[in-house]
Amino acid sequence: MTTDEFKQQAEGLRLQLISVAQKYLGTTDEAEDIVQDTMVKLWLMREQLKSPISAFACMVTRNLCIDCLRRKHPTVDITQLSYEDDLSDDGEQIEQMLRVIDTLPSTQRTILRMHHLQGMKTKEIAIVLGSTEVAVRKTLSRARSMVRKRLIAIFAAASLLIGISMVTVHVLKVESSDECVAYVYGKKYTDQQTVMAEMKRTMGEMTEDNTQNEIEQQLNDLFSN
Amino acid sequence: MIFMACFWMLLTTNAQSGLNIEPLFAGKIIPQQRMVETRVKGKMLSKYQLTLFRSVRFQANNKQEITRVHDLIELDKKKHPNNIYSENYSSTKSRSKETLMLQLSKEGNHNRFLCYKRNNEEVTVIYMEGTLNSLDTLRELIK
Repeated sequence: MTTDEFKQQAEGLRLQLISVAQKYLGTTDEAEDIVQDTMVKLWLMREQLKSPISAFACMVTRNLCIDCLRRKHPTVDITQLSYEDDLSDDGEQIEQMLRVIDTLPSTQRTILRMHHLQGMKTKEIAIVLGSTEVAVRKTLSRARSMVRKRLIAIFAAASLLIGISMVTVHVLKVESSDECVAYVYGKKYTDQQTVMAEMKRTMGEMTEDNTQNEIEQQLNDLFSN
Repeated sequence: MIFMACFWMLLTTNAQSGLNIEPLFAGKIIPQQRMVETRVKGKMLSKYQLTLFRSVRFQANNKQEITRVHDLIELDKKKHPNNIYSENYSSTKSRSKETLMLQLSKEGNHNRFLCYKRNNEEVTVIYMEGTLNSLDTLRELIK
């Protein structure tokens, strides 16, 4: 494309590109700046362009708008997070949530990431994906609901596991621990000497040789009848 | 939660559970205020080759209490008819003095013993667990 041909097309193109940029960025100065950048890009590559350039120009404008929106909602590279953050409960929960998000169907995953991780609004997501805001909201709602359900299932399973482990540890501790207690008419004694003395007394009474007692018993039974 | 409760109950059952006399140890027949109860477990019993010792001693207030305990012991005796160690015991409860010593079925590697003694109104019941082979050995160890 020659310089004259470019100039002719560019004049008519400007208003069209502004309306495209305003769809993404609203009626702001940024929309004007984006169109300006588009025109500069097109100018620099005018020799490779073939008429008509309106479709290509719209695509460049759209891409520049998306780049601009991304810059407005900066994200932090997960590898740049400090070690301390990784160890915190919040860090673990976020990692868990990201793992759950990765298991979602691709559309839900993309929309959820765009909205919650990149901070994009539903309107912006709808524009980027060429969908409607209502559809994006519905998908977002379904995705959130699925994440919630899966997280609840994971936490429930983890809680159950922790509970079982605690009970097992407690029971093993109880099983293996020593116990030395005596209740004498409701009064509790835990000192080893008293308890062992009581135990020995009871044991001795039970195992004592009862031959003499047995004879007496038999004689009593005989004469009482 | 239900699963946890069942799991807890399963793991915390008493060693002497399964015996008919178990309610006596649980204080369900004679209130704790009227009993002398001993519960010893662990290393302190190693001298006697035991791991668990539980005893209950009480003065019966009436014949019904004696009869109830006697009947429960009788049921446990019937469960282990071939394991009676020594007996000076009457199933008619007419005697004023009774003793019964039972070796119960093993639980794991542990031998189990149940002893019952009544001297007029005084009743003593002992449950023991351990590697102890016989009550004769215990008699020797106590000396």
